[in-house]
Amino acid sequence: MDATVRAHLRPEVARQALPGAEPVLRVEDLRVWYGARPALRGVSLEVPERRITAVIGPSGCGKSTLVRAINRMNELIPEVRTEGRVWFRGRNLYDPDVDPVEVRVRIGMVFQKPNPFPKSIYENVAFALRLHRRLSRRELDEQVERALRQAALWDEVKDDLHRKSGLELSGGQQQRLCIARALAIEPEVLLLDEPCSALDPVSTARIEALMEDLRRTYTLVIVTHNMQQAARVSDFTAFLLDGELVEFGPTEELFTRPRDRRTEDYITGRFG
Amino acid sequence: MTVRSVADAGWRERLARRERAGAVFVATCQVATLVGLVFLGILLVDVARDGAPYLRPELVTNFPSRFPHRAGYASALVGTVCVAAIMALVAFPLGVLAAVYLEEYARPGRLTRLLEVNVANLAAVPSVLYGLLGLGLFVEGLRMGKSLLAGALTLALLVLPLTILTAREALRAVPFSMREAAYALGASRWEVVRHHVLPYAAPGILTGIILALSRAVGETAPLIMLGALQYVPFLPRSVWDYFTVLPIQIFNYVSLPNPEFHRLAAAGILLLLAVLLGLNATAIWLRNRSRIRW
Amino acid sequence: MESSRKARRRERWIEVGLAASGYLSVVVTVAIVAVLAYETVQFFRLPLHAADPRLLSARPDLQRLVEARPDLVGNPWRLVREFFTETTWSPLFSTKRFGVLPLLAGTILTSTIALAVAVPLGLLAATYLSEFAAEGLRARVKPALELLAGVPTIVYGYFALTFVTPLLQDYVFGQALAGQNALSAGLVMGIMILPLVSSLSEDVMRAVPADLRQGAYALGATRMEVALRVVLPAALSGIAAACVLALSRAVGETMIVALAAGQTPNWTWNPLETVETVTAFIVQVSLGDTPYGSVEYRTLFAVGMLLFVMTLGMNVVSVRVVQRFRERYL
Repeated sequence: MDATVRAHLRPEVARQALPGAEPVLRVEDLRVWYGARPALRGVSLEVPERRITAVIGPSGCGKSTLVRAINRMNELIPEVRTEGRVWFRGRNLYDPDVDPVEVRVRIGMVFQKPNPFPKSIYENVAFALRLHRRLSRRELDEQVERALRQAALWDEVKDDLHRKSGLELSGGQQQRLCIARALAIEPEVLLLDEPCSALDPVSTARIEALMEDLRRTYTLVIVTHNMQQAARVSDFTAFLLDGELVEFGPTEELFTRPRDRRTEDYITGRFG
Repeated sequence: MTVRSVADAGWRERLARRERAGAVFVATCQVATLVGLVFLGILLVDVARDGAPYLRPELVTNFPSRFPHRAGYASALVGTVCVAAIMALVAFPLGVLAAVYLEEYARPGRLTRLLEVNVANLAAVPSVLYGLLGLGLFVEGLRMGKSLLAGALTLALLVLPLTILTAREALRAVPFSMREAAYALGASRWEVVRHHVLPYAAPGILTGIILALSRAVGETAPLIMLGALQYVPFLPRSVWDYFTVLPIQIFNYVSLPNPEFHRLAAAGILLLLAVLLGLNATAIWLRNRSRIRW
Repeated sequence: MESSRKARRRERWIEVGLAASGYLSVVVTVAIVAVLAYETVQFFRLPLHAADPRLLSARPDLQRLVEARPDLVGNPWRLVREFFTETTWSPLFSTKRFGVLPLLAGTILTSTIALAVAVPLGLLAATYLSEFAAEGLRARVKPALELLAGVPTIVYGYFALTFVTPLLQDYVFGQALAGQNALSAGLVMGIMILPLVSSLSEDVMRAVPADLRQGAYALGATRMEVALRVVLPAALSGIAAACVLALSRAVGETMIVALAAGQTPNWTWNPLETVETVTAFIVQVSLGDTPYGSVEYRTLFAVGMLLFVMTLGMNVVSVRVVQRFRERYL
């Protein structure tokens, strides 16, 4: 197994992982098609609560599709067809009488390329709060501060909340702003689709440290094509190949004693 | 710290309200989109109803007259055709060549940028001002008087910017690979343009020309200022002669107090719309024909 | 060698010829500005011409001017001040007053009404086509809306005069609405420029990057909220440019207002009254007999210069705003 990957593992995390790590999300036999092309072929897994679950796999394996199926973002694309179930807090998110808006309020998302709105920093964070909650001006200010602190951005922007546009921040700061924006409405699960791939190493490190903190409050699912990152950061890892879930387990186990040959081939760099 | 979910009972009600607002909004947008088209429909029906009694052959064979039942658009139609023909002969070659220059030859830089801005500004100048230009320059300055030629030249200047813009669009659509291949075979720039780019862009250019022609045929104001008269009971005998065109004749009839003339004006409008329809149908037909070839 | 030199010379000549066609547009602009400027200057020098006894004897129009307005003779700055500040415009009548404000009021009144129609309807249509309509529907509706822009303005003028005004008189205003009025003309003009607003706004809205919308959906926004709270504000400067362009078009419009708004200058902001716009005046003078170089002839160009400056100014502003919008996103 790749020595650099091994160096990133945190065995003590894996030991904590098993007791009390109840699943908050359960994906059951999820199938997704883009038109005629199958992108996910019957994936089932459980996402443990308040842990970081990484989804890895070669390009095109369906990682993003899986994660976007959880908060029903795939539906925005007309050619997409989804079958299967996603259980969250006792309800199937794909039930016909579940409004996708409600899903997205409780399951937030951060994207690969930071996408702050061309509004002030304050308005970016307040956006979702204004949509979903009835807050006084003071309460709004408090929540904006809380979200920015949780995203480790408060100290850097607290004097420019209304003056600076979200677009005036650096790449790493923009991504933390997007995280703050998502955390403003306190989702129970936060999905991160390759959040660091557009960032420099320093910003990446900051966001990884941030995720470590967020783990105490939120459940995180991170898609990454960077195996070292998955080993560094996550408690559990899911390996996808060609739309199928090949293996899922505690990160340390998956990287040191992979059960499936294909997993081993991937993490040792034989393909992808 | 526990996580507090926003999805409480009050939130659900608000969501239902938000979704309802969304539905109302979409419906409003759809209505707004249709308003213009409905308006156009009513307009056409009204004009057709008004003008129907005068839709007979005399409409195109009679000259203007003081008596509505004896009046027609013969001089106006011939005037329109003559003016349009001369205008086309002047404006379209110039416009296309200018577009070729801008697109194929001009080096990118401040001067070219200035040219482009200039053309864009000219395209936005109101047509009355072209009328004033024609009046000051052709009718008085060059002593052409209120002649058909002055009218045609003024309209040529009017449609020149539009022609340049649409021709440039057509030229821009030609894939670079086609030019590349020709250059690689040792062709000169003009040869590439003449034998490869222009033929490929021809349908688009032609469509642009017909668009410009439609615009010119419907213009009234500039020609009023050039003295296109409203009572021309004869066909123009030369380019230096007085003339009238279809929109001006319509304007004349509408301005008369006798409501019968208003009906005649409506009939004239139907004529004008028929001409424009014919032009645009020809454009579409030509476009489709060329597309098959390519 | 010889033939290639000839070939290169030929290419050079072709390029010169093409460049000449290209620079012709500059000549046109220069010509417009020159003609307008020359005659405008001559207009404001009329008081000086009127003071010259040699000119007076040959020019009946100057004699009429002297008779009606002895106060102007020899006093060009008086004319300039009057032009821009007074509210009576009667150059064709014996009273000979030259305050252009009534014409400006007519133009502003009709154009404002037109914008009040075109902007809300156009934006709603643009939002629908950009954010809600399926691609197939959009492909069919967009050209249909462009049709509105292709109808000759005289047709709109006829409709405003013979259908819209009587309709409004019968069902809404009664005789309070004049036979020629700003409201009917403004309403019809609004429909005419609607495709301009909707088409340009729609282009601008579609240019807003998709990942902004994705971000908003991921935060639990409904479709309408994404359109109104994210896309529209992001596209605002481009939309503003579209509106300015539409305004410019309305200001320059002639036949609708000449037919349906009136040919009597009127210093009023009441849309139910007859007004004359800058453009309608130009047409009115041209319909009459205006000998070259006369007072009436020169008013044409002074007013035309005003129109030119206004529309050019608006177009320049609009282009600059669009540029800034592009810079922000691309």
